Amino acid sequence: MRFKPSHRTGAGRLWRLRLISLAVALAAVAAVAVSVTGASSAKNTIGHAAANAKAVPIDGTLLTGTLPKSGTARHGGTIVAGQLTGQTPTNIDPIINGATCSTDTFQFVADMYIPLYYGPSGATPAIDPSHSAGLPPVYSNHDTTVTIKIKPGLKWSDGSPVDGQDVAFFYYILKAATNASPSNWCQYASSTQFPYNVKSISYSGNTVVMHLTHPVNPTWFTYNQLQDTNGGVYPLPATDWNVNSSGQKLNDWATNPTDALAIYNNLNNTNGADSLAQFATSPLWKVVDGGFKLQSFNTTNSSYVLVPNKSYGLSPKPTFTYDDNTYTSETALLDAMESGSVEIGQLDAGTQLGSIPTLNRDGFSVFGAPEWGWFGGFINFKDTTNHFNKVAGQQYMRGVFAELINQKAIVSGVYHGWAVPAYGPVASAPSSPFIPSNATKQDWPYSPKKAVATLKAHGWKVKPGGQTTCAKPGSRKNECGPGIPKGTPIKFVWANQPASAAATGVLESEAFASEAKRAAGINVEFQSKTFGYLVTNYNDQNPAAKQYFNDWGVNNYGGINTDYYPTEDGIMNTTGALNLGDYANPTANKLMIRSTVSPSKASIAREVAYFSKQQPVLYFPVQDWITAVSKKVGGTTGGFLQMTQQQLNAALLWVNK
Amino acid sequence: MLGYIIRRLGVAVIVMIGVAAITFAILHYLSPTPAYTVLGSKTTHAAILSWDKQHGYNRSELVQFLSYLGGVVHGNFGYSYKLNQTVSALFKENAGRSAYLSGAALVLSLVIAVPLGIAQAVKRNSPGDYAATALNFTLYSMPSFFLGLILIQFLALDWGIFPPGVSDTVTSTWQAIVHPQQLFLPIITLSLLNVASFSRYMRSSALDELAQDYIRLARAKGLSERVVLTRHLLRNACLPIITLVGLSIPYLVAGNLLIEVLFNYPGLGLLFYNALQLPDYNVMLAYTLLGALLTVLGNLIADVAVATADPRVRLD
Repeated sequence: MRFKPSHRTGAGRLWRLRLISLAVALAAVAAVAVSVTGASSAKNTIGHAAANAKAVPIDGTLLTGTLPKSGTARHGGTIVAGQLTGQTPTNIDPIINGATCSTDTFQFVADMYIPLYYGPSGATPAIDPSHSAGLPPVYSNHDTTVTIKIKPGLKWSDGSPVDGQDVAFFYYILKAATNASPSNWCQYASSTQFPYNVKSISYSGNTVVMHLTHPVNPTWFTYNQLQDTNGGVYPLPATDWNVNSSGQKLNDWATNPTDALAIYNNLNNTNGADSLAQFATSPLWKVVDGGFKLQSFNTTNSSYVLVPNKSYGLSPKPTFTYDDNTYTSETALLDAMESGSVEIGQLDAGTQLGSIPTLNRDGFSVFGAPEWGWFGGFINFKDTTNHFNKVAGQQYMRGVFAELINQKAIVSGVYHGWAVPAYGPVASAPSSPFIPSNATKQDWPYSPKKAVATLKAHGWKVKPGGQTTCAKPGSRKNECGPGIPKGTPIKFVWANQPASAAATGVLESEAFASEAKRAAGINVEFQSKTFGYLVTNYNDQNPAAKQYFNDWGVNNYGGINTDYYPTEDGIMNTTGALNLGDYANPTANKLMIRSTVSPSKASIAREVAYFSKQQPVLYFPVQDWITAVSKKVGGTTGGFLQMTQQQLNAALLWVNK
Repeated sequence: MLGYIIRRLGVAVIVMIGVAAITFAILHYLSPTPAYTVLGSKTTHAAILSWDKQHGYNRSELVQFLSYLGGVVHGNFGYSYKLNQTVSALFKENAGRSAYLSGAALVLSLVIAVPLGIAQAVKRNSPGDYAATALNFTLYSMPSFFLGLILIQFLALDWGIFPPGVSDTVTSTWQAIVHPQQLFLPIITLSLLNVASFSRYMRSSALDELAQDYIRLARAKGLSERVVLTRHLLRNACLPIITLVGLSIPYLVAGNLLIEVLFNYPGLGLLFYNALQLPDYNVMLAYTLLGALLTVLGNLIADVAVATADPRVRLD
């Protein structure tokens, strides 16, 4: 799981001089203004700022736009894709450290190294067995032993087979690295999770057996430990990478943690093999088992060129050159697509929908679907300004907030249909294979009337359009709640990324704030900070951010790319690494633990339903990840659908005849 | 003059230390340690403390600042953990491209603005003067990115004459030089904005000089108008431009942030812009220091150049 910025890239953008874009933007602003002026029904609150795109169900998701045609593959050719500055790869070792952790780095690595378990499967948040190095794991001994077989026929580019030893090599090197510092692996979660929940490991031929420290939920272990959204286990070439920085072979990595660490340090030696300048030249990185190998890497902006790896053991086998170019902004990327120099690129739902007709005319298919994970504003349970920690600490109050978020209108007015509502940690699409659809139901339907009634019932003096204050302090049912003195206002700071970086995030926040003020007298003061600032400083889990505890009430930097098995473990448990607002709930903690250790399939559904009721964050619609693909590019349907999940698997594409 | 230059350089050192101290203090106020950014969101308190100790962030701010200054003196501006390179290496790689972009734009704008300003002064209040003034005011009041967007729209997307941005193949300063078509739009955007400013100063200065007795004398001697303008007027009228060019020097290396972002051109401005987003404090700190250094040096060079060009100016 990882942070995701609300416009996904973290890079800024500039407005295009496009009348259509301008019109769309103005219409969105006007639509929000409508909500400020008093419309209260779902139909009218945001209005129909632009003709909304219609989504159609496909492969468990809701697809908007047109999926590219598979086409007929020709041998050779080049596909040029665009990536955005700020998230570009700066690491090549599959054990990615904290400083270089980004979605693009994972993608870069997965193009050259086959994950033990690859995902997603099309648009579905699930493992795709056909593109994984391992056959499905077998659990035994009351779910304490995991037996994994590597697919026969997989080879490293030097001709040696990919086998169980390569998985064990990953495990031992990783453990030595995380022992030295947890920041050596950005997927590190805690000292009780992988690799520490594996007591011992044995291997023979293409089989590897993991002996676990305690019984686990098999789905959780497979998906969130071994797969971990392609940040989990990778077989690594044990007979090629077992060297230290002096080039000395170290064969005792399984028994000698010092040597294992020396190997890791060599792989992550920023002055040596892992420096950007060495990516394309170091003999270490010449050994690959994925669809591609690296031909060149631009140290200036992390653009890179991949060529087919002839030893690739899965299919389809790529025959083309993949050229990933870096662009400074979504505007620059769009310009490049329109001028014909880029064939695959992404669009921003906030500012670039107006370009779709032009792209269609130029032969691009533009499509999108909601990606896995959630968007929303973390509530700061440590913010004592205006006793906000106590105010937001009341579950009924968080319910009131949720009742003031008109998600359907935001989907329509802000995203123009390129988003789906999300009322909890799992959105209505894409559907999860692990939870029933009723676990995503709306516990707090949009209803300003009900929100006001709830406030009044709990002793608040509601002043619509003004400032609501606590009139009846106390802990009884009809009183404001413990720790809330008389006269306390419902008033807090709401931090967003700047509109120039995340226009839709700002618009949806304003939609909530205007409704909250107009209907319920709840006052929101906006702040604008960069993504980096928000996740670093407005973060109660960061010990260096204590000085900011009382500076923010809600942090709407974006959301979380959750693992495919949708537990909030690591996010919402007390002291969870991504628990920015320090939400602390013993019941929730128990449910999350149960999701990870109980064999019951119902446990995860219970956990998701609980969070939907609890509203520890203010959930907002999950926006579509929108991609434009030129007619020059063909590929499998699954390959195109994966793009909606921010996963561009180049091995599933080809150049059309 | 040598004494003056030494004194000014001494002052420059003090200014630089002041700028470094203020920037250092601001960045440390915003985030006392970059540990969290470097180690990632899943780090632990113990790991942060250990990292801080390892990298000296557990020392007092004053000690850290003095240590940083010591590094700067030895050319060590720290490490960009996000970009996996030293700041010095990043600056070395990007400075040439930024300097080429700004330098080429500066030269082009002088080539256009100087004759244009003189022509406007000579033909003042003519329709041509009015037209050039209107155009200059329009460009002068236009933000650089806005002008860039207009040029991209028409010259790149609508008419397809130039690429909308600089391609990834331009990875070095030399490649930027040998791909003039790629750099045309960013250079012309910067040039037009400079032309608008320079030509107004040039026009005003030339008007003043044209009213001087030495010009009247030159004309009375029967010299051709071309000789009067090039041999007599030009040098004197260019004095304000020398100052302006000196003040432009910081842009030569510190780059033109918005233009580099807009045209996808990898230079120092873009490096700084990305550092702001990440955030990457060592890059931000070094960029601010570089900007301060060039500002101080630019002022000094302008003063010396004016004194050299105009014997009436004495540097004491």
